[in-house]
Amino acid sequence: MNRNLTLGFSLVGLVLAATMVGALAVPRDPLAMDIGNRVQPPGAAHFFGTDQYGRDIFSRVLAAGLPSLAVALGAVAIGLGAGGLAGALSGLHRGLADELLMRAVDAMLTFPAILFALMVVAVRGPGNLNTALAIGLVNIPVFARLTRGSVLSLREEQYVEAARALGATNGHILLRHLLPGLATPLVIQASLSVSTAVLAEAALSYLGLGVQPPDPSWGRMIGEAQSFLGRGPWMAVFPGLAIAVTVLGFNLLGDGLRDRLDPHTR
Amino acid sequence: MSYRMTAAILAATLLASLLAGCRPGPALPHADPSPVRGGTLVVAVPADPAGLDPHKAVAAATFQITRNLYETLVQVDPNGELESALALEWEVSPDGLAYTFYLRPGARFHDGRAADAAAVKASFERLLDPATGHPRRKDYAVIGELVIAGEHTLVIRLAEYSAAFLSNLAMGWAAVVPVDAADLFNQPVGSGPFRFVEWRPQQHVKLARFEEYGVDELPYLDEVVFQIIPDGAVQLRHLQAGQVDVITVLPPETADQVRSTPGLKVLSAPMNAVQLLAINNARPPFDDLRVRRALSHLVDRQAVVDGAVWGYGTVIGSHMPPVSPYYEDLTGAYEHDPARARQLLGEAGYPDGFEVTIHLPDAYELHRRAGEIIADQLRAGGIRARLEVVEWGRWLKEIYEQRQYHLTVIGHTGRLDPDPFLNRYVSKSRENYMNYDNPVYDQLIAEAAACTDLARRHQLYSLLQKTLTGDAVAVWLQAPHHVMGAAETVRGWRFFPIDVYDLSTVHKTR
Repeated sequence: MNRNLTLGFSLVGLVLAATMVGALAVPRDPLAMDIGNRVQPPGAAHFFGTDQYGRDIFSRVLAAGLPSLAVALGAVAIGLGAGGLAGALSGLHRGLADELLMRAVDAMLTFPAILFALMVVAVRGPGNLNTALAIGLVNIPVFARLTRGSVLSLREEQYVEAARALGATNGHILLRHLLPGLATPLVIQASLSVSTAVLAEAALSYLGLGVQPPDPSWGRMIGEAQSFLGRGPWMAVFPGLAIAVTVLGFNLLGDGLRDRLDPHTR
Repeated sequence: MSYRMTAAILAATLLASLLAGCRPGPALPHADPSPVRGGTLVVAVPADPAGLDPHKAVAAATFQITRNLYETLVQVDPNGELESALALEWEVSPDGLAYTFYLRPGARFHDGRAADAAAVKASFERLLDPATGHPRRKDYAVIGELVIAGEHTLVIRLAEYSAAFLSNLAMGWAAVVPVDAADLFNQPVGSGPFRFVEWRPQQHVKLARFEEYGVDELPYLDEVVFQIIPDGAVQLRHLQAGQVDVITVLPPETADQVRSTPGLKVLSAPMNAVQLLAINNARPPFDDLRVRRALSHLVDRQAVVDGAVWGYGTVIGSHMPPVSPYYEDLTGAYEHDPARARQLLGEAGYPDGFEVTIHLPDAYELHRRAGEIIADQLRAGGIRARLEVVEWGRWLKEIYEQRQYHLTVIGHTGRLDPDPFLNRYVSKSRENYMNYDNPVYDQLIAEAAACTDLARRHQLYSLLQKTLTGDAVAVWLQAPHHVMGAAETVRGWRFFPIDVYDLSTVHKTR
């Protein structure tokens, strides 16, 4: 294993473990307020300190992991599923459908990703499901182009031509002969996309459009901490660290996987 | 100090207050014995005024400034009582239909013309002329006739009785303007303590002392600059750097920071406004009085004040802020008592509570924060509240107009008369978004609005507040405070129950 991969795996493992803890058992109720104990610095009672309502930031950072990761993974699943299918079909069939699909993808790519996601959430309303959908839509063109490109090069391979000569259907070719070759770039891209999706979710929540109060979310916590930066910087630092570790972990994992799996970079 | 001397001072003070009581005169603005004259005061404001013609504006940003340029016939003092302004004295006929105003002799506009009875008459005619487009013209539609009864005497006859008429004259949009001034919108001319110097949009509005103001040798300052600084954090840095003397909107969470900075202080006073958890009284389960009372027992108001505005608020018990002369203290009606709440919920058939959505307007951090705290407090009664932050336009349409909600947190600001505060609870009112329906209330408020006997009027408004609290129509939370930051050197700043800044009494120690 290379260094990136090791570090990426460890960080993602750490985030997943913390998220599990956050989902199952947090030291304190992440929603319970204690106005008398607000904006307390980190200490033995509250490892990460308390926020403007006296809520335990440690518990909130842990509890915010699951919705954040669920939204990010859901978004990547949407992008991978819809984009991958569209890209594969368009690469296999070529022709007019391919042209139309790729121009549509080009059109989607002209929008800045976060602006596009904002538009979707503004139309459909805030909430976890809509956030996942919005970020997922942004991911579709990424996966569509990647898949189409790989399919285009793979379909010229001799073993694919051989299968076609033997009378194999498109579906059979896709599943048996192309998918193994597609898996590598898609897995790498998925890992990198999770990290951007985590960031996008945090950005939307920061703007008040993602996770709704009082539920904890890393982006929201930073947004709320903004008025208290002078008085309680820990309110922003710890959720910020959580985002940084998660994003770094998935990025390193993606890079490490590429180094290991992609024959061209070896 | 000897006993005799103390007694003498006491007697003199008493005599002075007796004399002052003979006629409504400008009250001594503050206790500071030797105000320093001269100097420039820089006040940071977040936005440009929407023009400086008081007859063509609705924005507070306009009236905060125009109060210093123009005069109204009467004005409100910090306690909500009316005092003299351009009119030194006034008389009301026994039937309440004729008001005689005795104007200040020698009062002049900044361009030198006399601010006499003819000028005031012309100003009110301009206000009432539909061509002027005065946004609140209907508030003055009761004016039947304007009669010049002398150079400095004006009689206003009303077409019908209006309890709020006199206090409406104290609002900034009833200011007296010289009608033939060319461009009041950009080049205001009034009879107030300061005259207009210049307005550079997005930079500043500059005023200078009007030497011929002629009231108690006011104002003290030579010059006032309203500097436009949109961002709150930038305002604060300007204050800390000594580049501005006053910032008018200080987020309460930064007040401690200002107070602990040497040379700076925090100015604050309760606003003429109420914040409430509004309840849709027509929607189950809130059509049941016991459930509404349970809500009142579940909400810890002081915790809301501490948590949402860092203590810069005053707890209330009905739909009236403590600054109103009509305020009735009902804060003890529903103690914070979750056990009692659970009992009431049990009696109403909800021993395990229920689920509900609280809608919060996204434009107001104050209400969003209060909503979060209340949602947490309701859990003690088993009420699981989901919060939904809605865009302001949607809030106005779906909640305020269409009444599609269960609970929401919002604030209402008041006028000087208590009627606008309380008439939204009339069953047929378009503003009655809480769907309160009580024929007794409707009858009492109609009687109060038509009542010419001041004592009886007080009694009725007190009864109305008690009725609302008894029916637990809403959970009234607090009267939030104005919170401002100022340099230690700034003295004589006063807060009013309407949104104006009166700088005539302000001075700087150096």
